[in-house]
Amino acid sequence: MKNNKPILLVEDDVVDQMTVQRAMKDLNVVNRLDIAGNGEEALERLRSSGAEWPCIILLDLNMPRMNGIEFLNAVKKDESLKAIPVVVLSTSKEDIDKIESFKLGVAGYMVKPTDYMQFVDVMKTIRRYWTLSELPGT
Amino acid sequence: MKSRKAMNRKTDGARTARKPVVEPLKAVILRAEEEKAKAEAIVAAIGDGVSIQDANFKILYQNKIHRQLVGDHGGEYCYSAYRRCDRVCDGCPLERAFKDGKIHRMETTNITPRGTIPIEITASSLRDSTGQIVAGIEVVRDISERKRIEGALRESENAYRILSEDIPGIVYRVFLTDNKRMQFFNNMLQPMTGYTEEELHSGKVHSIEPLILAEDWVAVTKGVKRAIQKNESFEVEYRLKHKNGDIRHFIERGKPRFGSDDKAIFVDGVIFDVTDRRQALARQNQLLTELENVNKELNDFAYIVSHDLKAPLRGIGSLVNWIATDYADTFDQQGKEQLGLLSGRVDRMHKLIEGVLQYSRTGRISEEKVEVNLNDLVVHVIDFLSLPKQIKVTFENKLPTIACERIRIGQVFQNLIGNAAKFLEKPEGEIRIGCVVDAGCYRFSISDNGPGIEERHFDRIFQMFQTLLSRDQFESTGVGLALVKKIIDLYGGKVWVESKIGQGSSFFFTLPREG
Repeated sequence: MKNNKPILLVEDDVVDQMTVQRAMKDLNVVNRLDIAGNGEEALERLRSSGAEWPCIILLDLNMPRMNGIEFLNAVKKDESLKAIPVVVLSTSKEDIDKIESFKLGVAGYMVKPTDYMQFVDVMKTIRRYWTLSELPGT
Repeated sequence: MKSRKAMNRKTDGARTARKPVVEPLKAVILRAEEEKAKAEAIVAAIGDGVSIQDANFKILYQNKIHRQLVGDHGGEYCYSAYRRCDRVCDGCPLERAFKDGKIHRMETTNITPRGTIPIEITASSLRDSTGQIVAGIEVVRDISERKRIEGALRESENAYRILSEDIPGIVYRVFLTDNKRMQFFNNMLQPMTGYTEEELHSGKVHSIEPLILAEDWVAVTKGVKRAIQKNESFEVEYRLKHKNGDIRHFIERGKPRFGSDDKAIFVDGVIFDVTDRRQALARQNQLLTELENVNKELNDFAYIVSHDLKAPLRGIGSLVNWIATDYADTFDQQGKEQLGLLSGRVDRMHKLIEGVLQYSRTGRISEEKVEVNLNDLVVHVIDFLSLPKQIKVTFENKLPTIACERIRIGQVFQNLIGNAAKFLEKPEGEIRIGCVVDAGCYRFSISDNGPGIEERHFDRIFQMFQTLLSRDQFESTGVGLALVKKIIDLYGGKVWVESKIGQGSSFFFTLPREG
């Protein structure tokens, strides 16, 4: 990653959380991983005083209480948060989800593979991209 | 009418003669001769038959037409000559004229050389100068033509009456110049509205108008007015309140009629009760909507369920993978084998779910139809499948270019060619692809020299999740052919298989040809 700010994972499934943690460990990503169980929690965390803002947000779409699309809507309306790059990490291959996400300005859309090794590949790609790409506020 | 005038003149002449006159004899004779000549000319000019009988009904005179009509019977008694009777006929107009001196008319038949014909006899009496009735004159007219026309008229009226009676709707005429009074030409008013014609009277209105529901009335007036303006027929539909309180659906078709001044004078039309048809149609539409909803729900359900099943399955997959990696040293051989089986089952379930998702996506989402050269498409599919080297694919003939959804039709070929390749057990596999035009359809075939399929399985293999081999023996989801069938069904085509054990299989499918 271009900087050492934490990565925020918004994901309700514990195994999926473990998958990202494990993949980051396997790839020797040193950035801290913050985890929020749904959109609401993530917004609270971002808006709480003194919280360190993440360099990127990895966002699941299908979550309880506040789903990914609702979270995106809220973030993009928030002048202070809208610059943070969001990469969707979802099981959905539906066009409608992809279109909605990109309309809301996501930086990328990754479909979670079933196979763990393929998931590691996805994480590798994300890391590689954000190592080359500039991040805001670096 | 000519005849009566002639007779009146004659009687008037006779009356004049009775008046006491002082005239030179010569002048009287001259005048009489003039009268006679005039009378003769008139009688001769009459287009009807004229005969004169004396007071005893003996025939004194027949004009030419009379003779043509009944034959020459001078000197005979009229009743015996014309009617073959031995005494004066019943109701004889001449007899009555003799009695009261007035003109009498009757219709009867006469036996003539041409057969019995209908005639009209007008009889009047003739008086001498003293006022004594001395003879009678009969004007005979052949009325067979009139009778024929009358008969035809009656018949045609009858036919129209029966016709309008038999029409299962109200046949009407509306008099536009008479406060829109409605006249009914059959007896359907009461069965259809519950009201009799008399009951429909409401003030000056004599029409079904007040029975039509107010909400529908505006559209009805508009439709009829436009038809009158444009001089064309109209069709309006409305609801009408039956006397028993029911609301009935009526459909009315009519046409305006115009007078010589180009003003519409009336509207003629027919009204039918279409309530049953409307109800059946409404019910049908409702069922159709319900069916569509249920179908959509089912499709969505399959999609949502399989989508949600994927998430925990992925979790299981990951955990199995991590356990196998992290505890590789802890497991003995049997434990490792079981972990391997577990991992395989996860894969299988994932494939099944993907199959259901793919199957339900077909039908939910449709692509745009484009012109697709199937030769290119199939080459592409074969390339994508990366078939083993020992399998040879040949084209029996050139495939057509058709308007279709590229991905879906691609899936059809991919599954059929993929299946053929998957089950080929021979060292030299052969797959043949062909297409013929048959009964307005393209009939495609994908044949192989594989093991073949027993006939009892021909239907089963197109059903969802149906496989012929155990999945441990042969990894397969059983979705491929179900998907092929669904796609071909959507295109209005058919798919089937012909096969014999040991002789290979041929899968056929048809697609309709446009144009």
